[in-house]
Amino acid sequence: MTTELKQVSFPPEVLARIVPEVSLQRHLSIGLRPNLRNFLEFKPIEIASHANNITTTNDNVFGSSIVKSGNSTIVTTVTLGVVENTNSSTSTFNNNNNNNNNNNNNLTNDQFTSIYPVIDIQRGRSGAPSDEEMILSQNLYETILHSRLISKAALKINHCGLAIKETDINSDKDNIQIFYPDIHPQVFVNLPSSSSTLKKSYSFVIFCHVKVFSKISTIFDLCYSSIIDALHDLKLPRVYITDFSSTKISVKSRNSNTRGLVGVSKSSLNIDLNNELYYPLELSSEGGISCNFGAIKTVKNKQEDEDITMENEEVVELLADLEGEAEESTILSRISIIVDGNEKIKRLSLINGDINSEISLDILQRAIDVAKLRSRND
Amino acid sequence: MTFKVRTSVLDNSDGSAELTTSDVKLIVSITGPIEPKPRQELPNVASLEIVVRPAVGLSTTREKVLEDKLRGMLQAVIVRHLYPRQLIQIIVQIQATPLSKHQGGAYSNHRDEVEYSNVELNAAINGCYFALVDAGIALYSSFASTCISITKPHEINDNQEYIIQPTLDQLNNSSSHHIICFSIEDKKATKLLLIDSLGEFTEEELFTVISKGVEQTELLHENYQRKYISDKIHNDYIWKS
Repeated sequence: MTTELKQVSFPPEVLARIVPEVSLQRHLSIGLRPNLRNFLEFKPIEIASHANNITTTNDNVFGSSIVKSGNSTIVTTVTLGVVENTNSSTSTFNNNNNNNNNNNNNLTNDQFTSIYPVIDIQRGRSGAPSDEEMILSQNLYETILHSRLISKAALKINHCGLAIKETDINSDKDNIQIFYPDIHPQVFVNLPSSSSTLKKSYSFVIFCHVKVFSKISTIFDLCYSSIIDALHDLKLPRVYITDFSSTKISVKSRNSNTRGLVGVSKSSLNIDLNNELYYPLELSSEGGISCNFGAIKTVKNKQEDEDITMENEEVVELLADLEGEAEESTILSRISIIVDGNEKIKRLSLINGDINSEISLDILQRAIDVAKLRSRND
Repeated sequence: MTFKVRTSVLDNSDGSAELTTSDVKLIVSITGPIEPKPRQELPNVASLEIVVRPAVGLSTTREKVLEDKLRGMLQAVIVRHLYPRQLIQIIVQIQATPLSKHQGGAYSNHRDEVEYSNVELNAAINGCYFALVDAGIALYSSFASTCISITKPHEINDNQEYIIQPTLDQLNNSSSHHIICFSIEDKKATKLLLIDSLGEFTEEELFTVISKGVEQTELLHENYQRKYISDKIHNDYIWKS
């Protein structure tokens, strides 16, 4: 006795969930991707950097950018920190100043610095950053460092101001005035503590907070363009020192158990929020456009007109801008390329994770050509 | 170029290798195939657990990226379907980096020094090869990796040099640096497994680097990998008449 086995069939969306690789192959065999884009079609990106008012409404945000692509939204805000330069770093600045008028080619790589990105993919839960977020942040850090985008000299605070408190006798109000050596050179010479402020040198440190909402694709490209855009938007403030702030520190007496308060006058660094004095950050090179590609082997049916014979041909297809679960989980051979407007490649990362769908040199060449074309158009 | 390998250095792991190159020293330990934790188990292939430990301090995001790149590359060369529902644990302990050597071994968190973590990736890939062979894990092919840097165009004649296995100073003065890893079959570099390039370079330079990578990985395989593996097999079967 034979029992008839019923063929189980699933609607396409169920099939995509349970066997993403089969679903992807079926899409590719009819020349389509699950997201209905062409093989080498990128998803459009909208960048709204100057239209947002994050920077104007928040005093501690100095640059910002919003990037949208499909449903994914990426919000980058840039905040700043100030660090004191060590002796060895001052020597690099001095070298730097000597050949400032030359081009960047003469600078060694250690005269460039990077940003400190914090990627936060919103998934409705909090906790320690996931591996994906950590890898993204580190990749962005290394890319910006080695692409020689931000020189240390550009982040150095050259004219540190000094705040002077003047007490108005008539109104009994404290009046604080800030003097800068380059804006008020006459006043600055006469100031008593000006020499001590000049001794130390400070630099800015750039922190980029990247928030990712509704992530559906690989987001390195979006994060990169968002950060580059925010850096173009970044305005650095001036920094001044106040000499008069006195704090009380509690000190334990040596002989008894009582604690006494000792006044300490300590100079503190402040950021001048007068946005008329803000100046844009000088970027040493342009950022470029980041693209990602994946390669997957597909079987093409070559149907000849009159004959019944079906010829199966295996081809490795190049797909641009991977998106969706099926593509992300199935395609393991990937390329990520950053190309700038002068057709210079800034970063290339190729991993052949799937030995069957190998990225050959021809495919790599094709990916670079597409990336170049895209950087030219944008 | 220094390139020293000692295999089976660790007694309690299934395979291990210690690799010393001119600027990086590391130990790779392989345990596997072993029983995985339920959440690591994959029904049809072996799962890989890759841990990179830095020379100094705790692992950071930097090591996570190294792990990610190593995983991407190794999953293409290990014959994973031979070990379904099993785990292969690969631990890379870095012992010396170009930076730590540069500072005379003393660690100082120098803000001014640029780190080149790709140099460590290069050594880690080469170290993994010997350790995987030592552990007897099935591989589709041999693989070897090399690091090449391109110097800045010369002021007068625009000449650029390609430096193989650059030192820290050479990296610092380079315009770009590249890690190229090829699979090797019958002493010939066949498939491109990994490229990681940072800096600024043209397409032409990239393809020159790749062709130099072919030469270098073949040389590495011929001069070192074959020699060490045959020595190893000779020593392993020393009692066999």
